[in-house]
Amino acid sequence: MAAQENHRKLPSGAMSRRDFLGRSGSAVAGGMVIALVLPEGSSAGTLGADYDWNRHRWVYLIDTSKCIGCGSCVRACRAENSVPEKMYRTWVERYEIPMEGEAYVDSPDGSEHGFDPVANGLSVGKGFFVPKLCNHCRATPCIQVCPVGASFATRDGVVLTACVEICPVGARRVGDRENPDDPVIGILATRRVEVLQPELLTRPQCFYLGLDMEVR
Amino acid sequence: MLAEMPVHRSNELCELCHRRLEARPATFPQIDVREHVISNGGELTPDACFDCHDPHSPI
Repeated sequence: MAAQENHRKLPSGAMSRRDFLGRSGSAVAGGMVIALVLPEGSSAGTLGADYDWNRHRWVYLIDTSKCIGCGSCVRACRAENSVPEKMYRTWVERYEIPMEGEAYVDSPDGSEHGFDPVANGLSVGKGFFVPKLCNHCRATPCIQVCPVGASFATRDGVVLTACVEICPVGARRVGDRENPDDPVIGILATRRVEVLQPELLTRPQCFYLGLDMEVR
Repeated sequence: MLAEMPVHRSNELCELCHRRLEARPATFPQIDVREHVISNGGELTPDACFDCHDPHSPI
């Protein structure tokens, strides 16, 4: 990340580098998300000196039908963002649904070390993985309730993307709502996508493709 | 002096993605390593995958 920071200059008058880094540290403590780099192939690429955060609105897209549960995203997130041991900013859940009975869900160590072959020993009718992370809500209850301002949002709704870059099967992607040609935005416009916990009315910007009705 | 980049040759690294799991997409290549190695006449060593597969040129 240090190398990427050399290319980045924050918008004039928005926030000093010292303030930014200080607030980023607070954001880490509060569990809010901040990004410095976007993956190659996204409509922004590496954030450069001409980056204008008023002209972007980032969203996150997860294709659950592609996820293989390898845990690379969890390891990449920890390495890139110095996430403390036994804490997770993203994790992967395994759902195994028998022909009859309730779904079995597990996420040993957040899936950081992958999954063992046998989850519950029952005959599985349907199984899949679901990556979980911050919902990137536009209406952010975590910011509203935080008494010390440790959580905050940026104008462009930026997301951390080490997990996107590392995913070997392309199950995680980011897109820019301000760019009508962005393929991710095309998917949002033409495919059936869902969000987690829509009943909370927090307008999540983390969208899921192929989400099973068992997922909570 | 530059540090040496660690190279992981353990089967466990390969299995993170290719271990057979019920929840994995059926179209994704996955195996039971023991069954796979033995059925192909190999010896189940900690780095048996590398006996036949080059990670930089898979298959």
